[in-house]
Amino acid sequence: MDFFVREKTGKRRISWRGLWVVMLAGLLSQLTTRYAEVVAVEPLHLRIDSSIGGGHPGSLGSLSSDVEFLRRIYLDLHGTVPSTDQVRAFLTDESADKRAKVIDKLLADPRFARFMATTFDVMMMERQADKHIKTPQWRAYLYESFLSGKGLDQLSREILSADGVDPKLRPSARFYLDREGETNRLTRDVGRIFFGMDLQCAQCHDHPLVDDYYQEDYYGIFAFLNRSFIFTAKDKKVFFAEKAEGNVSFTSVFTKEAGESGPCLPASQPIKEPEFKKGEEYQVKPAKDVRPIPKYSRRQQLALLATSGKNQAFNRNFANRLWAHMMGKGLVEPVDFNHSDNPAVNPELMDVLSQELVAMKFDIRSFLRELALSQTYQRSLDMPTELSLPSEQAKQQVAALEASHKQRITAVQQLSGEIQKLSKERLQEKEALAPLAKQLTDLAKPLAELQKKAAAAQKAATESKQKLTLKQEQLAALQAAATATGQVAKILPKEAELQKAGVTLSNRAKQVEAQVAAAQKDYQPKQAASLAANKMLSEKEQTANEVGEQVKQLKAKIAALTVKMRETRFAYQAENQHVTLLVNRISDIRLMASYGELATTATASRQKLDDVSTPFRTLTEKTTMLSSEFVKLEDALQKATQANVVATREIGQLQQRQVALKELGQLLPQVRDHLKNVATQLPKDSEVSQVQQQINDRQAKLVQDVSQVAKALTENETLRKSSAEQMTQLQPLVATTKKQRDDAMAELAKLKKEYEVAKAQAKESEEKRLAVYNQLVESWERRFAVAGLKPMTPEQLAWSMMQTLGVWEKQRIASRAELDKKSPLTEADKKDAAKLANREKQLEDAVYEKLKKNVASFVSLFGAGAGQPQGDFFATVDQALFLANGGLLRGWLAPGGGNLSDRLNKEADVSALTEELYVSVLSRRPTESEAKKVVGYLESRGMDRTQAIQEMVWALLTSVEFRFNH
Amino acid sequence: MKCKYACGSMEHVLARRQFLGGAVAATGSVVGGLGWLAQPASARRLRKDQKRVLVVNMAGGLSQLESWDPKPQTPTGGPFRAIKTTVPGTELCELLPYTAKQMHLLSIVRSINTRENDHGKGRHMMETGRRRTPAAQYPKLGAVVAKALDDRQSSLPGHILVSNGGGGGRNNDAAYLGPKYASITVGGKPPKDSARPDGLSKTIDLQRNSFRRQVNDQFQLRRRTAKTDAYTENYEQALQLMEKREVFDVSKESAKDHDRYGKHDFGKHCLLARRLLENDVTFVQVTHSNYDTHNENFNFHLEQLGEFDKPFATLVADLEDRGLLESTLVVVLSEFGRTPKINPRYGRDHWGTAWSVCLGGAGIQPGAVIGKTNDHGTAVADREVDHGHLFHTYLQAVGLDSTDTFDVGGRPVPLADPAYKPIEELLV
Repeated sequence: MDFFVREKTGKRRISWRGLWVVMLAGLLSQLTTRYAEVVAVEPLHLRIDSSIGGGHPGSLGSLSSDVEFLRRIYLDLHGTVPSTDQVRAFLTDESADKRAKVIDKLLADPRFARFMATTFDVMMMERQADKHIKTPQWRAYLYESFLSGKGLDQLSREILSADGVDPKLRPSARFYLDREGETNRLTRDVGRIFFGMDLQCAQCHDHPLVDDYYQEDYYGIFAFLNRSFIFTAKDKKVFFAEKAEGNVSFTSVFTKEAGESGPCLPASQPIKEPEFKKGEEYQVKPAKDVRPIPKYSRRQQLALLATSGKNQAFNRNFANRLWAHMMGKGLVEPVDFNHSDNPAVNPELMDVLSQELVAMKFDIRSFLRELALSQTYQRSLDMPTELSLPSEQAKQQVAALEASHKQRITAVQQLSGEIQKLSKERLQEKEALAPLAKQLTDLAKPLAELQKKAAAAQKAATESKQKLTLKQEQLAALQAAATATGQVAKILPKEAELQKAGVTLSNRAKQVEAQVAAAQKDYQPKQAASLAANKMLSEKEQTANEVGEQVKQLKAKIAALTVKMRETRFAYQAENQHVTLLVNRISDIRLMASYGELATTATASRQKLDDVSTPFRTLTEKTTMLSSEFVKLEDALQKATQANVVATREIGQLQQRQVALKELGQLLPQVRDHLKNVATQLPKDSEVSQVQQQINDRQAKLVQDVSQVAKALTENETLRKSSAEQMTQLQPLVATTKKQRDDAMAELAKLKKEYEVAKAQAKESEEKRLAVYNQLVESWERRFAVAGLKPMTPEQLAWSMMQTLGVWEKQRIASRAELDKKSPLTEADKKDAAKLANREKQLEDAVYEKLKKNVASFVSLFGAGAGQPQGDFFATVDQALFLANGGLLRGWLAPGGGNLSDRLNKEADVSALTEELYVSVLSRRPTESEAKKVVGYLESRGMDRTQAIQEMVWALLTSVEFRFNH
Repeated sequence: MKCKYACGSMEHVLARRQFLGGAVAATGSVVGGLGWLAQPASARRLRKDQKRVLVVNMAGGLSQLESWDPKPQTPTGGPFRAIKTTVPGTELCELLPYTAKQMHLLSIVRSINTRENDHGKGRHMMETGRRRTPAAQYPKLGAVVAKALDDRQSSLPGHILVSNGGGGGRNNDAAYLGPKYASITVGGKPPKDSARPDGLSKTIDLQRNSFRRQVNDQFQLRRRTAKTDAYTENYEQALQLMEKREVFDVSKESAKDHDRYGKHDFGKHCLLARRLLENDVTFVQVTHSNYDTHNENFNFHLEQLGEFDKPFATLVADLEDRGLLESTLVVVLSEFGRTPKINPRYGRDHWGTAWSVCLGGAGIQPGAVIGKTNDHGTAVADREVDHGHLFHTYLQAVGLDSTDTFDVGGRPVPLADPAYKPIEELLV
């Protein structure tokens, strides 16, 4: 599995660094050489740590535990949590360099390449729907690229120069083709993804909110791309082709300032381009159904210049993106909002990282390895205990920083003024250029007319001249012939025919002579006209040349001013970033200084609350007791009073009855006596004897009644007496208790006020402390002084759940069996490292293909919309519903086939079960209290052990601790 | 070059940093909960009470001449008459007799010129308030108001499209505002996975959730952020939603109401919209299709508006009766109107040049008519506006400052296209 060779402690790296030093020593300034020497000594991970440590005003967070580190590194390099066995093996490994070992092991595994392919796919395509290139091919291309250790420079070069022609590289054209080749969209996304600058708002004007983003920056990238277009061949196959013409001009919708732009990369100057004669610009000329190929491709230039290692924006962008991948956020954050008002939290480190990435030839493994080895990466989530800064110290620091801030502001203002001046100057030149350019354009038409006229006059004159010449020649010939014939005739006077011929010739000559004269007449004015036309033309041409020269000069001037302006802007940016950083730093120091006080106040307030709450509680208890005592006593008093009243009333009634009985007692003997007399007179009267009997009975009852009343009277008198005594006793007691109670209540009311105030103060001061604490946590996180929480990507979540629940392992066993059956390894193969590595890759590919459809369900719910940035965390109800009630997870949770629930079910021992549960899901051992809770949960669910286990696995899977990489 | 440091003031830069990074604001709000996830960082709320938006989308392009801007007895006017409404002087096409009785609650903008005759582009403009550009995606109105208005921790989604066969799936229409504000499509049935599976009782579900909370509480002692809160809160919202499943079930409405709204899809959808709005869903869109009447414009409008009129008017009246209209913006829109010229197939074609939108409720002046077209409806005669003005107006109507910005991951993004302004005279 030799994807790259790695020796511990970066020995190999030192050798190339040495080489680098040798190469550069003669060329670079002293400063850079010094830097390079430092480089040669210290590996990057150590330099990261010293830079982060030096750049942080407070103390750093502690190092993470082994399990924390392991979970994190698996998630960051493989996109999944470690398996139960991997956690256990790591925990039992006692070697000192076990973290480095695991980093190297993970980097060498095909799963690393797979995860990087996913990561770069999402980064570059942002889950756009497939158009011309299908995602599987594109992913396979990325996967193979990362497997083979292709550098990010080459990968970017392939993508940025892609035309879709070479079948091997065709998938790399997805970036362009699946954005439909639309120039504005490509400009935005090339800017964001390859240069870390979201220039979209600068399309129609200079960015309204970001000083560093200019409209000409946007069109600088735009000009690399606007000649490119989607070409559909006869067989409907689609390519990204390019023309040799098409220039870019733009106008601000705000200021109406117009500009032209040639290709220009961010953080660079406009490039010089070769010029071709008209008609010679193409290797393959455009024609129907023919894909044109220009001799000079701007897109090719974009690819070459961006990835040459010399473009700072490109280098920083990828160094920052890789940093963000590992550390949770970029040194520049958001990663595509790189400008001097949003500078890298640590610009020096940002520079070091981008230089190192270039020096490592953009090798992603070497770079990520160094990041992973750093303590900065390996820090824990826990904040250091001491966060405050003594106020005196803070004051001094703030004063120093403010002074420096003031200086920086002055410099920034000066540079800003310079830029304004240059901009104004350039605008003036542009304004000067405009009429001249117009004049030049206006001149073109009359010039062309004059050219045409001169040419026509010239033609007429030439033709006339030709005629004249012809006649003159005829004449000369005739005259010569006539003369010769005349001489011959003189010698031979008798030859009549000769005589005649002589006459004929001289006559003819005379005729022609007249014709010559006519031709002469025709020619002379034409010649004059031609001369005049030429003169006019050359005058006009001279004007045009003069204007053209002026235009050329002005354009050169404008170009020079643009270069100067860009230089000044870069200087401004370099300076301005420190202004923001200083402000941030001052604000952090103030926060820390205020935190000490706030923490003290919070502690004091809590103490105060405790102080007040003790007597308050005691007094509350006392008051309650007194109140109930009082109620009891009052009740008793009331009862005694009641009894007294009742007894008194009874006594009164009894006494009345006593009187009545007394009277009856006096009357009855008299009646008896009378009856006795009657009975004597009426001895046998039964009725009389009956009455007598009644009276006797009554007499007997009277005795009884009297005794009863007397008894009751005594009883009531006793009662009255005793109740009266009770009343006498109780009355003062009630009064005392009431007073005690009232006093206590009054005191309590006072104390309660005090208590409430203390409570409110404690709450308020704690809230204040917490607010600043949270700001400090953010600040610590921003400076990478403590680890932060990284929400898992949809893919990480899906693979981690499959890993945890045993879905992945199960598939791996099945795939391995299938592979072994289909193409068994011989004994010799099993000893061949290359063959074994290949089998590992085959296995990874098979498992990935089988399980990737599960990932899609997670992506649709946990991924942001297609074409949107995918890094932002969000939580929606449908996600929770999917995990709570959805069939997929329930299926995975159901015990069977050796999956997690199955293993836990078979574990009879509760503590072993708990350990397995926590190690499997949260990659760590349970705490004691957690173990107790598991026991409690199992008990509460009684007979439903199988269900209870699934419920607990679910609860851990849906916990914050699982959802976030930390 | 803007020299913003001219004053050299520290506060200036600090304010900017807070604005860009949202750092201080974000952390501060963790104490109180999730504020920043649900609310624009700096969108000033003009009014505090909960506002809602109902959009009725007349898909395909409603004819303004057969609805809001009749031109009877003209060469372009078609065969229908105009009828009086409850607003003296305002007339509607006779195809809208029920709506005519509610016009004292509604207003019309008759002077829209969007210069766009393409379905897709027109729809995009009306839904986002911006012209479509290839390099940028903009959130739809529903996403904007869901984000800007929905700061309650509601268990119900804030952005709902009512449509047949909607299974509660999430759409990709929130652009940079993020999927939390993307619409979900519902068709009268509760969202997916909102019922407990067989074999999981409520008691047991609550028990496992309480175990989950314990695990979370312990972890959050180490680090608690707005994100962890958002994540845990989500499960609570899911539990609440499971209790409220019936909100999505239109069959729970009375038989009488089903009769009043009509048994056809549009009637049911209007009734569902009422149900959702009553339960404080922030944005509901109902679609009535299809008005793309290149042929037989008049017969189609007779039929389509015959279906639209009564349930729509009933919904407006019900919202008013229930006291919801004053806090609910109602908009009836299309991607464009239809040509005044009647083509040889008795049809009308695409027409973005002079058409109408009807709106009312929250923040909108009732009974108003804004702008007008000329006598034959062939051009805007007064107060020309377009999608941009309307979008600002919608936002202002529900109490938002439409010139404000969202903080999107540290980037300020305007709520509405800064090149436009609201139609002030239409706002209360």
